[in-house]
Amino acid sequence: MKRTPTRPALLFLALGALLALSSPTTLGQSCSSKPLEQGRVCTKPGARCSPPTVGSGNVGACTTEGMRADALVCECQGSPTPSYNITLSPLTPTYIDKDVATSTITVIPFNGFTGKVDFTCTVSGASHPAPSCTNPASATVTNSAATSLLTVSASASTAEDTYTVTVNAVDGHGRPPDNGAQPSTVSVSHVRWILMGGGRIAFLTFVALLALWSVRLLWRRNRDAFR
Amino acid sequence: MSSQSLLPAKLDLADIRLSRLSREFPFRASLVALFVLLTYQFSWQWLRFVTSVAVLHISASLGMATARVSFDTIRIHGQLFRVVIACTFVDVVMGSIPLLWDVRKSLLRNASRFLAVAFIFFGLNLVRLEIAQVLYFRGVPWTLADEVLGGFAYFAVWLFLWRHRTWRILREA
Repeated sequence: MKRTPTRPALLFLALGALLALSSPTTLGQSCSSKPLEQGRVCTKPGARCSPPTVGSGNVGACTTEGMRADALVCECQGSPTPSYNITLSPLTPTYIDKDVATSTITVIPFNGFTGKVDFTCTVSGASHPAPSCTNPASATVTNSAATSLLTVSASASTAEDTYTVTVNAVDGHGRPPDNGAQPSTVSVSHVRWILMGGGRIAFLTFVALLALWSVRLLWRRNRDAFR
Repeated sequence: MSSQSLLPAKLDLADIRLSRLSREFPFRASLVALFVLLTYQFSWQWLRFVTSVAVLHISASLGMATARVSFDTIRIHGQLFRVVIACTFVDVVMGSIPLLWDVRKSLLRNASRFLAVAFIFFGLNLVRLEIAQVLYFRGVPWTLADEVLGGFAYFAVWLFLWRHRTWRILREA
């Protein structure tokens, strides 16, 4: 006797066939935005990665990874494009009064990037007048990371507040860093600073005590020697 | 160590000439300078942070109004204090290595002794910093409360090193 599928079984098979034939992008795909390695962003299959120049290619395309519709990957195609990132060390000191805070800007090259990188800095904050920053000197990348120095100055008239110092850069072709402008913060306070720890007076006090101790030591030994 | 053997019967300051100094002492003294110079080549941020944390907590336990401002800066009773390298005593600790080192003992024993001494020195440092805070907020000028007290702390360290030294200043007769 030939067995025939029952109605629920037929419905189940039909649903399975529908799922198998349907495009993965049409059923339950969550490909709104997926941040990828080194700052690349993928929006939807077929779209270009943003930015496309990071990594190992000059053109990036968003594709699905394997059969997983929700896993978008940014595949960079084409020849590697020389590129760079910039990083800022924290502004030191973090609080300034009528002095300066400095930070080291490091240019990290990718894909054999070489050349000069120019920097600009801006200070933003809610209070005015804000501290000033001078545009850091250009850095020239030869074959490894290059550095420059960011300096932020405050004066007695600078308003007390916390400010964001943003450094941007462009290379010889006018291209910005792949990781974009980099911020750092510095605070201005006119409360009198006290530096803890020994200074010149501590050293002089020590020397005076040492001299007194030495004289006493010599005197005692001299006295003992005479006895 | 016998003090009699180091000095002549009738002692005169003029008798202490460079030629009478042991070779060991100038060598160790030079190493002290070198170690201290090397110490200041690093920022010691973690140690400045730890020191500021300790001062902050001790001050708070003494009833002072405290707040952290940055990794090396604290606010106590509205006054900002910045912990610099000298404040951590790391220069003193590193500079004491050449004076503490016993050439007759193993590296391990010297290292363990140094670690113990370092803990003592860092403890002493916290005590003097806290005394300085208390004195300052009782009206003593900061120069007196911190710096002069710091000089006494350095001298206390010197006395400790002198008592535990294994080297001679003068040549044996």
